[in-house]
Amino acid sequence: MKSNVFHIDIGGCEGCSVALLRAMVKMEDVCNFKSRLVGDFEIEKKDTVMVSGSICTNEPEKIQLLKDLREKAWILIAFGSCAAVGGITRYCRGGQQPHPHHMTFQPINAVVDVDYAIPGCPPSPRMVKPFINALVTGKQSNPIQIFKATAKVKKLSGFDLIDDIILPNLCVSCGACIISCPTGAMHMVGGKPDLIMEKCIRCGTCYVRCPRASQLLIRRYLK
Amino acid sequence: MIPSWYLERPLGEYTAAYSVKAGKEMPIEKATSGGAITAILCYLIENDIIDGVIATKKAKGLQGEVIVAKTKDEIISSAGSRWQVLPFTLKLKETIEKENLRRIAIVGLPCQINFLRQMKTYPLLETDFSNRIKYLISLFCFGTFAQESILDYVKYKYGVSASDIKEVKIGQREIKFNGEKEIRVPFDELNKYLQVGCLLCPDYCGSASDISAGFTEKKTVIIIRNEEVNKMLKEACDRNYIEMEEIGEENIKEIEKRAIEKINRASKYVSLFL
Repeated sequence: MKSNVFHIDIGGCEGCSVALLRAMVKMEDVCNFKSRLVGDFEIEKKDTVMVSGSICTNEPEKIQLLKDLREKAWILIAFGSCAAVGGITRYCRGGQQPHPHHMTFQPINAVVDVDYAIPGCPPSPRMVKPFINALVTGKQSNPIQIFKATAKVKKLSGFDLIDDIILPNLCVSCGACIISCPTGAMHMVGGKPDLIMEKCIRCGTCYVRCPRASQLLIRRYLK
Repeated sequence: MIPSWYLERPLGEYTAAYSVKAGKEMPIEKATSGGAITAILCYLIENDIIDGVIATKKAKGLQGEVIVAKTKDEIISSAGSRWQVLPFTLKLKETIEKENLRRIAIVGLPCQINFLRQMKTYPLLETDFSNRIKYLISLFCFGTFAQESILDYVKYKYGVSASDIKEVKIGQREIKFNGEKEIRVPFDELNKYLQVGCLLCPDYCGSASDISAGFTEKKTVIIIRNEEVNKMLKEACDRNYIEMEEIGEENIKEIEKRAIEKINRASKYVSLFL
């Protein structure tokens, strides 16, 4: 029997929702994939839930929704940078325009335990099917381990890459971060990557792609 | 405390291993050893299996740069070892998209192949060129050097400045700097100039690749990781691009020994950074 995978958005720019909707049409042979955006559904035990968007800490009902989801779901996946590591919503400091808006955001693992977190702003629709396939078949690989470890951290960004890899001289200049940055915030200065701070949207893609950073991530949080 | 399966399979999952050299059709002089990888790439390009190869080329002095090679001549001119990691940059992404290359082979070091495999299986960006990657070819790597430091060391100890060095050849136990005179520097002297990031790396032969290639004492060895590649190589062999024969247990053991050495080194250093 095919397993159920449900998608629920708890607040964001809908980029991740659109990515999942685009992936949805090709998912038929792997799982029953449904999204709250195109219909209602009941979650049962043994179902997998993908959550996109970060959690607004000023909205108790959203926090409760997330807690209910965790209780019901078998596997909870944070899809996209906002849900996984905060992403660009990290920059909301409260009291922002237009007033009287007052919101601050956290990645969903600040509220509940998450099993897998997929950074990316948004993650490409092409990655959804192989990822769900790997979950269904139970096939372990290095990237799956990285997504599992990412679920344990509350922030990942170019700033962390600078702190953890480039300043301790662990960088070997392979160029993974530069080719992975969606905004071009990483560039080479004197043979090593450097961050243009204003451009970093804190999506964490560079961190999970860096061969050293991902190795440290797995070692720190899984073993 | 590296995971145990690493030590059980130090070379990663593989289906076959061969000793390979360039065949009669391919006169290659500049290559690091047998010219096997250059010959395979030429076969792929000439028979329209791939559109282009991402490889490295000497730019200025000892500096190299990453290039996209689309013809046999370009591939042959990029043969030989560059003895440093060359970063893939945004320019590369632009070139691939601008020239509309749909099937590319990438030659890189295990660290680069590692992230490219991740990019290929689970693309996190819309702009990832994952579906354009056809083959990932990894070279055996025991670590790369901090280039400026090592050149300064050679200058102070042996009196040869960087501008006089024409070529660098990497042997089993020493590095040869060729210029007006040849100097041989044993690896033991240079160990402390290895990049720290490389000391943490447990991957000797690029276990995420389709083909791993490197050389042992006498032979160029190629490790094949899936059946499709195996078939492709047999075809290249039939057409005289390469000559290959299966290698014995003792050669595999020799590579495994190096791989285990790297894993042990990594487990020693990684704890300093957790």
